[in-house]
Amino acid sequence: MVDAYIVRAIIAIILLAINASIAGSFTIFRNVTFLVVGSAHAALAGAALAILLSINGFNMDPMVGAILFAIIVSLAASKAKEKTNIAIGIVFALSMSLAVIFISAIKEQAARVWGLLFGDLLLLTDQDIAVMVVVTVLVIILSFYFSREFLFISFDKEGARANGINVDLLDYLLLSIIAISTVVIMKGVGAILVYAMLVAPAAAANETARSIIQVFFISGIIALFSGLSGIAITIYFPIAAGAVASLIASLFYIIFALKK
Amino acid sequence: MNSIEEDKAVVARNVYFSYGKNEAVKNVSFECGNEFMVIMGPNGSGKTTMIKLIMGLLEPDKGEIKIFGKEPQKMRKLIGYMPQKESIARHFPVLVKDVVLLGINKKIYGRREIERAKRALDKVGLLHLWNEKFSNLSGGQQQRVMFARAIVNEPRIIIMDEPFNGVDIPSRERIMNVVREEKKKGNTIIAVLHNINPVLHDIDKLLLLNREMIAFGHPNDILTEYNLERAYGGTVTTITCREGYCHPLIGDSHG
Repeated sequence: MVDAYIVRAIIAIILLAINASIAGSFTIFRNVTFLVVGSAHAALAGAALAILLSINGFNMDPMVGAILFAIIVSLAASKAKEKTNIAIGIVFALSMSLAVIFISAIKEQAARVWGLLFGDLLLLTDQDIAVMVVVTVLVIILSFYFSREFLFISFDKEGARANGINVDLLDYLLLSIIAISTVVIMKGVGAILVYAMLVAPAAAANETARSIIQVFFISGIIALFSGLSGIAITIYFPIAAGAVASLIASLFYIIFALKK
Repeated sequence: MNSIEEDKAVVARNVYFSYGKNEAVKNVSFECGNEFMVIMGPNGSGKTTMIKLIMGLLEPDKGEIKIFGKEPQKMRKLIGYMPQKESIARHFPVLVKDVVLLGINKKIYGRREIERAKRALDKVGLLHLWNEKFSNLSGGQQQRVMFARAIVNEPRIIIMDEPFNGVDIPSRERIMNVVREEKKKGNTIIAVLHNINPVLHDIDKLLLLNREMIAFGHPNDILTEYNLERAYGGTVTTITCREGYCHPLIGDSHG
């Protein structure tokens, strides 16, 4: 009989691979990899605020707070137009400052927020998995429905605008999807390693794929393989599964980039 | 009574536009029908702003622009647009067919859309590259694919922003052949061009800009040393070719 925490970890890896495939690929296409770092760190502030509010009687899931803050980063990135990275950097710094302030106000429960910094695939609860499922389904539906628009905006913003696409709104939606996926993956591997799990599989796929569809497919496979390998190795060795998964995903990129 | 003639593809009357305090376009008026019109001027003269105004992506601060007598925003479906090549991303494996199909406003592409995309690509002589990665193509081929995307919806007005920048001569000729065909079909073609000399003989109307309108009309009427000096801020030598066209010798490069 497989332990429940292993089952939850495997489900999380599958969800993580789906997010890495969809949002990761669009992160590469839209060229906003720094958004992943910014969103992940902003999410810490969101989670800390949610815990702070919950302590004071306003019950809120830390993941919801994390998602809301991550979306604020995507709004800043979208509004900044060509100065995207500067805007993300500023909101990143701002939210990290807020995170530290909020954490200092929730001393007893600060460990819950710090847990998000490193994540742990084996410590996920049923509620975590439920939120991850809902968010992933939302990411799938929105990305599928607006795939043409997202691709058009990533390829040629001016052309998309001329073609009647509401570029400002849909670009914001695209960046929000990336931010939301970042939080989902972060729940499993932590804020520090989320970049490796979200960006590395798609970046590796982008080096070797012959079409857009292949990028989605290969990045999903790499993320799934990396995640499952992480779990498998963790069963036999006392190493953090997320770290192993991120390491394998990053190695894929290095191998594909060198092979090119 | 409408002051703008509805049979004209594009009519601009005393158009002004500013980005904040920076006046980009000042007092521009022109009319363009079934013609090949070129917008010309130095860097930062408001050429790209002008085509954004024509497409309804920007709204004039003063004055008006009409497309077949109506607001540009309502007539976007009649316009095919080819952006500057610098604005296109080439870092992911988008295929030639993907690029052309993006021009079609459909969520899912059926057989009819694919046929249309193939027809457009065939017009620019690149149907054999249908499944090729866009980034593997030469600069000239990429511009031909972008042109195919601009014509995929069979628009009444084709707008091109620096279509021949860094493009080889065969690719330029291929695009110009389609431009001539489109004109014969009754359509309007508007291009922003930095170097007009290679296509000068085909141009029906020329709009010379330097933030304000310097001149508008047939190239031979407006390419005078006086107008060119006003547009470019210095002496521009012109030579007249055997066919009687006046060619400006402009040495600066597109930025």
